[in-house]
Amino acid sequence: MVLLLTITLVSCKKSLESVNVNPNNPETVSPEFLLNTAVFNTMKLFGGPMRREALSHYSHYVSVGGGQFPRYFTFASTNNGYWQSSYVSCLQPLHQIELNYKDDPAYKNRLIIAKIFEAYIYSNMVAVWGSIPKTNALTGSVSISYDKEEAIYLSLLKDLKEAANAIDLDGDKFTGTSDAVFAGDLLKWKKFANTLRLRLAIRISNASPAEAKKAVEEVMADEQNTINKAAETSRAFWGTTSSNWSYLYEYNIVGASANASSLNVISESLIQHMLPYSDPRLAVYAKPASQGPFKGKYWGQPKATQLPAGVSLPDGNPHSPLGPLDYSQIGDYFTKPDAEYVFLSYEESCFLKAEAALKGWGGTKSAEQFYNEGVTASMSKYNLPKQDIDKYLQQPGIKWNTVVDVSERKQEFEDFLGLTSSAITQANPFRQIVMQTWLAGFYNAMDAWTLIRRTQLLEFPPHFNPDGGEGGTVGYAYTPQRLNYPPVEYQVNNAELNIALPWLGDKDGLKTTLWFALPVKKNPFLPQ
Amino acid sequence: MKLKKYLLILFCLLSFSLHAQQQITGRVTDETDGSGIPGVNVILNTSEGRRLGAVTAGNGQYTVQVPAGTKELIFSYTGMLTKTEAINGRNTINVQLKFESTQLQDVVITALGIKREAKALSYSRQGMDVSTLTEAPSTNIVSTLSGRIAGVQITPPSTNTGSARVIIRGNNSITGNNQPLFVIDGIPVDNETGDGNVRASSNHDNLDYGNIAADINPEDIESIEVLKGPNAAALYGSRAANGAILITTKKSNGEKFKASISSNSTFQQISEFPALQNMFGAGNSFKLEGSGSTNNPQRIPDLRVYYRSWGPPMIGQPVISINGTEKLYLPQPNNVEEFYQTARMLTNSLTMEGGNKQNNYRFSYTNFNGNSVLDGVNNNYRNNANIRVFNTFTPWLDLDSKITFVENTVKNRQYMNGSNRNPMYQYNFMVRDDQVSEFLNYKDEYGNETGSHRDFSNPYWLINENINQDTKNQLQGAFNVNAKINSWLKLSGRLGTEMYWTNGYAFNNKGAMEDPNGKMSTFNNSLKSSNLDLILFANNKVGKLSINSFVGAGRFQTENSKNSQRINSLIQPGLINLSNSSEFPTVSQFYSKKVINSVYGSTSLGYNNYLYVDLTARNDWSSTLPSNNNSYFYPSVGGSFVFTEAIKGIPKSILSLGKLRASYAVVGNDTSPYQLIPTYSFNDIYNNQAFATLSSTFYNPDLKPEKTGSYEYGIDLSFFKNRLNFNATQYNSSTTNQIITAQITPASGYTRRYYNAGEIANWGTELTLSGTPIQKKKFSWNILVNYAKNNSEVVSLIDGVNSFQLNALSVLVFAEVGHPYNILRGTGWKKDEQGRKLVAADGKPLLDENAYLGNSLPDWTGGISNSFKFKNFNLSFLVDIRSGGSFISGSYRRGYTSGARIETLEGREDYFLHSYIYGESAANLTGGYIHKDAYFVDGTPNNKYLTPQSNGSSDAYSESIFDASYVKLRETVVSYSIPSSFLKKSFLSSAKIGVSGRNLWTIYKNTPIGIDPESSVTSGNGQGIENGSLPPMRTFGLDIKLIF
Repeated sequence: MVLLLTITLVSCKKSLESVNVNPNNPETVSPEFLLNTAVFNTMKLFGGPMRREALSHYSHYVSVGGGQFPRYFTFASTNNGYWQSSYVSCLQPLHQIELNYKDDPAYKNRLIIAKIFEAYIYSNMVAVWGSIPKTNALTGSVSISYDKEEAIYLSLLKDLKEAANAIDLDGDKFTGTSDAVFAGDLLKWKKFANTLRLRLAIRISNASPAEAKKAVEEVMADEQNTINKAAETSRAFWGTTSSNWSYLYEYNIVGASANASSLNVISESLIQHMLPYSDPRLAVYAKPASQGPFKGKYWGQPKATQLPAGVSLPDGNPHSPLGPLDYSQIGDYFTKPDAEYVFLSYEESCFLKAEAALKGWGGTKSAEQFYNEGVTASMSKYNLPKQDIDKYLQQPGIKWNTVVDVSERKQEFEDFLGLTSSAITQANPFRQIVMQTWLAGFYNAMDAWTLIRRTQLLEFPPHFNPDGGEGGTVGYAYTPQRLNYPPVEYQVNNAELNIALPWLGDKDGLKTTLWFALPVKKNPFLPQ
Repeated sequence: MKLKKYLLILFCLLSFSLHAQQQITGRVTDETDGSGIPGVNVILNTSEGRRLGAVTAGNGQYTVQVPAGTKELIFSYTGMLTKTEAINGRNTINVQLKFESTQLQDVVITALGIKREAKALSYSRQGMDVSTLTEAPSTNIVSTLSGRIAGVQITPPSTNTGSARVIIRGNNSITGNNQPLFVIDGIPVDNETGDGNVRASSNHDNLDYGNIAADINPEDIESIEVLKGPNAAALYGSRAANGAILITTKKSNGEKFKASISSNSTFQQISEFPALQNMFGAGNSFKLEGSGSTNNPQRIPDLRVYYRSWGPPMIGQPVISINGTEKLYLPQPNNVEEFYQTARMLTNSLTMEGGNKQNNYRFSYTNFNGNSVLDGVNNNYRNNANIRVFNTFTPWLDLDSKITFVENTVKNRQYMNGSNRNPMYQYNFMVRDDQVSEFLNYKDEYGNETGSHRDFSNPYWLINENINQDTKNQLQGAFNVNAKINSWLKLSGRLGTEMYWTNGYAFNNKGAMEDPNGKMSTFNNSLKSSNLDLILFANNKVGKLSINSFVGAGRFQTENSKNSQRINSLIQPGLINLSNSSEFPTVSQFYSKKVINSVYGSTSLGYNNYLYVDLTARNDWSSTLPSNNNSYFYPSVGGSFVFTEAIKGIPKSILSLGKLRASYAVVGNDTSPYQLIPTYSFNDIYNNQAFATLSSTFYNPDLKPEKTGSYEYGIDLSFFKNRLNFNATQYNSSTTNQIITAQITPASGYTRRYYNAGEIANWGTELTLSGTPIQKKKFSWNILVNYAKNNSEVVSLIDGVNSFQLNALSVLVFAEVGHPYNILRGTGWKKDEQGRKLVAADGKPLLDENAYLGNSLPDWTGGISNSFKFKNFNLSFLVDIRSGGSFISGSYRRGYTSGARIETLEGREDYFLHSYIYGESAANLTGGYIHKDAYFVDGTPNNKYLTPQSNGSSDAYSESIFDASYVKLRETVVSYSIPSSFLKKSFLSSAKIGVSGRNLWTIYKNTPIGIDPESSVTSGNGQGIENGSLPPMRTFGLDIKLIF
């Protein structure tokens, strides 16, 4: 009898297999359902908590309050989260498109688009951490080797060139809603690829002038295939349902009372760079303080509201009793639930070309023309009147290759401690381009942070209350130069990480200067 | 004396009413020493039923008049085995009674419900004393095992309605289930934990739905046996790889109708509140500052902007309290105590049974109603009904049927751990000037939460506006049909089914500070599982050889479905309905099915009652494994040698039993359904189109079954006619080829990956010593001492992977190669070569980011239980001991950083004096907080004073790590059985009253005041983290049991 049972059971083997077919989830999906996954997750990463606590603060657009990253220190689980989102949430969906459709010519363009967006994500990641896994990433292997920062830039430049050239404008494309960036427009993807290449080439122009020059010249030679108008700006929008609300809306508006102590509020640096130049964008970016002693004024929050050790002000510290709500809040344009997230804008494209032209690396227009075009593009975006734009562009210090007269109004350009100034007192068109790039890019914090690190030209005060002993003996810390590698890499990818650590000079910290960046410019008024 | 006279009269009166036809006399003696036992009931089993005939006198003598048709006399005495003697025309019947405790060790229940002689077993098992189970009930039956059984480690549930963790002999699986199988009347039941093995860092929406074991009705339990290793459980298959807890429920003893009612009222209260300071109130850096806004020209400080007690000394200055009214800034030393109440748990049961030996029944119904020390949360209502029927159809065919129905409803489960919806967590660091009354108005006229500090919700809002409710209906059936083929062959068919349907909702009203739009979710889950077995038993004796064998085949099938709906914003406040949403609800649907087919067999050979050999074999086919790997075979072999039987000349009066045993077993194990191929899920809609997400686990299509190999050996000794018993077991087990989902670098595109790799070894010692030091007629004393030490080592993980994370909350819990399971790592205080704490130049701790902070597993566990019997009084108590192990207390850390705990007073006054009165600058303080016994890197002693508020010690998690050792008086019961002679005239046949206490006294612990060393954030594998759990609690109970 038992023997009989055994035989029956063994013959059931096949039926056992069918029991284990998952009825809940599909095993494959088409690329139409994966591109937006990457786009949306990328917005959620670089425009989500990472922007709130690290990027926006490091970009000096806003001030955040307490917490580890905002106080120029690291926090294990948060950093792990950024790393994980980058690979698993942002890159993996694109990798799946490439993996599953690479042999099918019917998907050629969609594969290229996946590749372009993947390059965009990597270009941000390499700017955050430096050397990271790329070549062997996403394979599911137990240990994943790192690629050198320099090699990543070169391979991205190569990939973007190939992608832009390979797009078949008459070929397959994503259907409208499945492409949240360009709604399937292949030409726009091509222009994005070229302009992104321009951005990366310019970014490494200090570190590798030869490679940068080569790539910039190639892109500038084909300038009509770069982002040339507002409608070509690469961006996507958050949504109006609660699951895809903008993170800033969710945090600063919906969660305003819960997050009262750590709201993103306008920074002192931003006000300092806009108010004395009567920048009409200020009314878009910021609101006057709605309460407190500075009610009705544009009043920005410094990095740290307490005074540095040993410093006292004659009239006391105007910031010490203030809470986040006593400062200027971020303008409504940016706090909408379905706000935009910009990957690469038309204005930035202009400023990149201005830099290229300034270096003599090509371009159909002069650096000044590109500069003016960029400022105009930035202001037009917010529907500012033409006369205001023209007036702004005529101002000393804003007008190309001019300086501002600071006599009797020196303090308007300075922070409350008088350590930094936004005044351009010596002719420096490059600094003008950088300042305008920074101003135009408001709240695109990732790009601004990268800009600050590669140019080290604009003046921003250090943090006087850094966390975790980052202040050292002097008690303050400059803008972080990168994020450190997340602890998860030390735990589960240690062997490969150990190969990569010497590339940083064995100093895996926030202060380590990356290959593309310049060393921090020290503030002459502070103890060194 | 008067009593005796009274009784005598009563007996005389009684005897007149009898039609005396025969008189029987005799003497009842104690088998152990031959002394007479007074007070033994001599019951007549007449044709009309039973009735009391006589009670023995002081020397054990009795005389009874026996009416015609009486066949038997029954001798019964509490604590001793009832003996039935056929009269057979005798006039003198002398009997000897045995103590129950000695009998309990003789026959035990083993796998598949087979009763076997204890001395024939080759592996260790241990029965639990269930006598106090109903008298001192615990909210979760698993908790009652703690300290009673060597090698069983319990993590109690964090709330009365939560899930408990039980592991036997350590953790065998790195990431899988480590809890034993629960088997009720031979049928395995699902004991999935209702907290989803939550990890500490999980989101704030977690509710602990409790485990099924919590629904087992203690009233129905006849016995609990623990089969400790895979050796014992080889025959239950994979699911018993971590051991098995066998629960046998009561059935009718086949006599006349009997009814009983019992009522238990238990009261629970917090026994130890956290020690909080009462000098400094809400504020920051000793300061309170008014905003200076137009509606507050006097700049009266508004406490609503603060959430920590780092303000100035409370000396009665005016402030604006959290409810917006002006008050004086004064300490509220009892604000935490006032928040709690005494909880009550009421259990009422009715049992009826009757029938005869061939056909009988037992019915029981229990109603439970309990609440929590926090008014308004965890209100639990449970009804258990159980019917058991035994039928003999023909002399060779019988059927034992049992159906159990449980309905369990919980209103307002408490959000878990450090959730910002857990009102309990917040009260552990309550701002020191807050008055409970300030929170009572928790809602303003617009329905928005009021009275909240930032980062600190109003607890009454949390309780009253975050409503949840769930009901679980559970149906269990067990049917066991036995057919005797001949004198030595028996065929059994068993069908066990378990089904449950759970539905519930969790509602978060709109207007909350944390979540102004509110949200709601509902769920309907169901499980259907069945075990079908056909087993052929053969028991025979050939000369000196006894054979005990069976072969069987079985099929286990389980189907699980989970459906949930969720809305993320509400339109109408307070309307608990899914339609109350301006968006489409998010739905999810999940169904899974798993089948295991098995054939198994066992044979036990016994030679001359002293040499036994056990062999078992089992083969499983699991649907969860790839078809080429889905069959796995596992055998076991064991033997025992009773040398006291084998070797003549051992004086039995000294060494009554001596046995050596050894066994070896292998158990295979499978995994969960659908773990072979990665899939996508559509989670949401963005840009008007659904988007898909690939599983973040990298699957392995070639999974193989995992294997646990285990051997054990031991000795069992009984001295002085079982008055003293000693058992020792040494075991060693190792699980290889583990099916683990290990964390991998996210750079791989995945967060986890399935492996067949890794090995954990567990080895240890278990000792039990039990005895009856005193056994007199009126007084007896039993004692049981147990001790267990389990060692573990993670031998290997995966090539290139040295450790992986099991849990995280500030510190990380790891399985790390070369270390015991569950080590804690995290930011610790950096030390020099001499082990001295180092500080930075600013006097704050120097940190070591990946420091070893401890191991969460105990060095050893043990228990001492005592029971005393004096006349009709019983006293028993249990001392539960755990030595070693560490955990991080998130509550302590939060209490410290919030400035609420008393420990934060250190250096505060001094700092205030030096900094604000003397005006010393921060860099040159000559007083304040200083890290004592700490050194600068250059070796000079620390001389830097700091503000206590940011002295940096909370950055070093090592400062919140505590020793989890404890010695607790776990259980105390005093009961009194009203003498049956008193009840003779009443309709009662027995009555018992008892008072009990649980956790009345923590004899020893090393944790800060108000932190229970047993608390844990999870019933999952990543132990060693406490966060937001309740302070230590104790319970008192009153129990009344009446039998009719």
